[in-house]
Amino acid sequence: MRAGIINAGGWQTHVDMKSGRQISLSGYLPSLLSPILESHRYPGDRDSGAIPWVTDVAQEIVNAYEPEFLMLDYATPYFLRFNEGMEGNEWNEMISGLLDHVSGFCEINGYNPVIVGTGAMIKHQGIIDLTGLSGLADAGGPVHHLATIMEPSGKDLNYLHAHPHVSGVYSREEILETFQMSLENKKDIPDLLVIAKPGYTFRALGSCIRPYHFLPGQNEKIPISGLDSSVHDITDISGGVLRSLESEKTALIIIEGLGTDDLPCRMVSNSDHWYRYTMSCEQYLAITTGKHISSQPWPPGYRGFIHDGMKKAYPFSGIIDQIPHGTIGEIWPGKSAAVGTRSVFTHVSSGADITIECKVCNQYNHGTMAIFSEKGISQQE
Amino acid sequence: MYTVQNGVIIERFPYSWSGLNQSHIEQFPFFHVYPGSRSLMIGTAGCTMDCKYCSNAYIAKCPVEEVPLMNLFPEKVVTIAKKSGCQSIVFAINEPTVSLPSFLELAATAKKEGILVGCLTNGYLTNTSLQKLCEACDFLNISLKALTDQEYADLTGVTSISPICNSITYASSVCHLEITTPVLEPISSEKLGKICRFIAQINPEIPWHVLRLLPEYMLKDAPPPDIQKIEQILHDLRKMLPYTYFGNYVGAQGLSTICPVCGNIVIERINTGTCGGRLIGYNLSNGKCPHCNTKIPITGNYVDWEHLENGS
Repeated sequence: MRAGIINAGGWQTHVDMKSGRQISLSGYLPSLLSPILESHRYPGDRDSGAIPWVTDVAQEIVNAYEPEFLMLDYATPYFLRFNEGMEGNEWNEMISGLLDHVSGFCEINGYNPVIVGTGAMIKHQGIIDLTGLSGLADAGGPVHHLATIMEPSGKDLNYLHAHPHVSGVYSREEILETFQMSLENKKDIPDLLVIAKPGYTFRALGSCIRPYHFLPGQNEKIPISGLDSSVHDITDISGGVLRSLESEKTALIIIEGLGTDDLPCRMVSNSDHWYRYTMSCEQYLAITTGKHISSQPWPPGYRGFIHDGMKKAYPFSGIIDQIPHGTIGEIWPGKSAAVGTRSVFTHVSSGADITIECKVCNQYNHGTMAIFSEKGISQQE
Repeated sequence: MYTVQNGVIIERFPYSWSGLNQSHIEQFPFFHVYPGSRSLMIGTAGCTMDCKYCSNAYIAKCPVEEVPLMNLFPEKVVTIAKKSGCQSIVFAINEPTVSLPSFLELAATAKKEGILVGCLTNGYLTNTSLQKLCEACDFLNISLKALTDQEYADLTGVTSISPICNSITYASSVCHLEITTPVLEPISSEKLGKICRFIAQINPEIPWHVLRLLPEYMLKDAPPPDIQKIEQILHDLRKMLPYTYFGNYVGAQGLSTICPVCGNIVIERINTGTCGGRLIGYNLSNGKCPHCNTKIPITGNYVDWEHLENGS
């Protein structure tokens, strides 16, 4: 059983993560994590105070639990750029401060810092209108330059192929063949997956209502520091972290919106065939499981909402209906912990024994959650 | 949003929608209408009130010219609803009366195609608008934020509560009605008690959603309301208004429908971090409590999400 403590502005409850139902937890981990949640209220996605929130919470966990593997994810730079349009000196100073902050934290606590940027962001250039298509166009989900089409007409295909700001149009058959996916239900993949050129988004069912200014840049390379030269690809990172853990405590630090210009160091490939990872569950899982899309449960364009009924397991986690295998936290036999500001991606992708993450939905700040894995629960016994 | 042209009031941005999203009907919230069903949530931009806590100020309070709108005729919106497996269209992102002609036309088109229509409204309506809205909608959720003119003026900028009370009374007599009350600090048991009594004397079977507000806009630095204190107040008020729900916070436990006669849970819901709730258990049998056979006031039957047309 995977269990959680929800902290909504000081009020706490315990839940079974699979059913969503209230349960009663006791023991070492709840008594350890409950006061940490209570004393560290999440400032919000677009508040720069969320950066020290991660490190402050991590410090409390390190003091009490002493994990060898630690994952920290910082989504704040993404939101400050995406929603607030932060750029220039203000951006540079924020990133510089963040890097100093994590370096200091790792030095004090004796962690080898492995820093991964999810890739640079670029200014929003324009919108591709899909509302005129006769097929059902859906642009929901966290990746704003991606849309799915069901039952497209020949005219729809002509429109998409001729559109100057569309970079790719892929059929279900092409997607399945390219990524060799073994999904049970092929209808989980859309009839068409459409990708916009960098800087462009879609207008359709589900498209983002909140104002935005920058988008992930669909980067060929992303920056990484702290691992040896055998790491060339995004999927090599988890192996590198596990090797590092054999000799020293290691912190995997994921900074969203951080590009190769922000962190001038080694670069690794950020692609799987024609798909370039951007801030999404796919990118997090590629980093933490070492698996490309073919082995992931929710590929790009995955139509998760069709399984969103009463019986869906893991209801606190959007489209996520299972905990993926092969994460660093799952493989590492010692202690592991994670803290992050990318809501459920933090515990789902880290596989850590214990995780504290923000509980935010569409940027509405509902508080925080602590999650213990089966391993975490057994570690306390 | 309207203007006067040649002496006639016209809509400034007809058929212009800020968003279209698939949603569980419980998320709006509507707890006593076709449980489990899928809705197409729509909205435009702008509002007739200026609530200090507004959660959607980026749509409701910013200049409409700055909102990227989708121009879609009613037939197209209804087609999207049908193709995406939605049984209803619900106007919920902002106040529907700022775009009433477009919404009424959409509702009429939807009904011809067998799609249900609902909306969330602040209830600050003229009699004409109220009648038209009630004729157009199968179900409404009206927000009742307080019960005095002064409280409304302080919180929303409108100076009289009379139109809102009138809307609630009228709507309850002609269509399915649920009522929502957002709660801010300082929490007042007297205020909540008054609102509860007002609803109960209209119809004690009206579902009442008490929302713990996450203040934004002008009150974004205000503290979140104390959950335990609100729950304690509602514990007693449920005797007067049995279908009282308390939510808008993750982990909320006051979202399930409890049989008022035998006390068993008949519809189980949780909050996963959105407004409203998520259905995780439906135990009614022919609309009745399976334990004591009490009729529970639900409009429509349970709909299995997994069996819906999947837009394919």
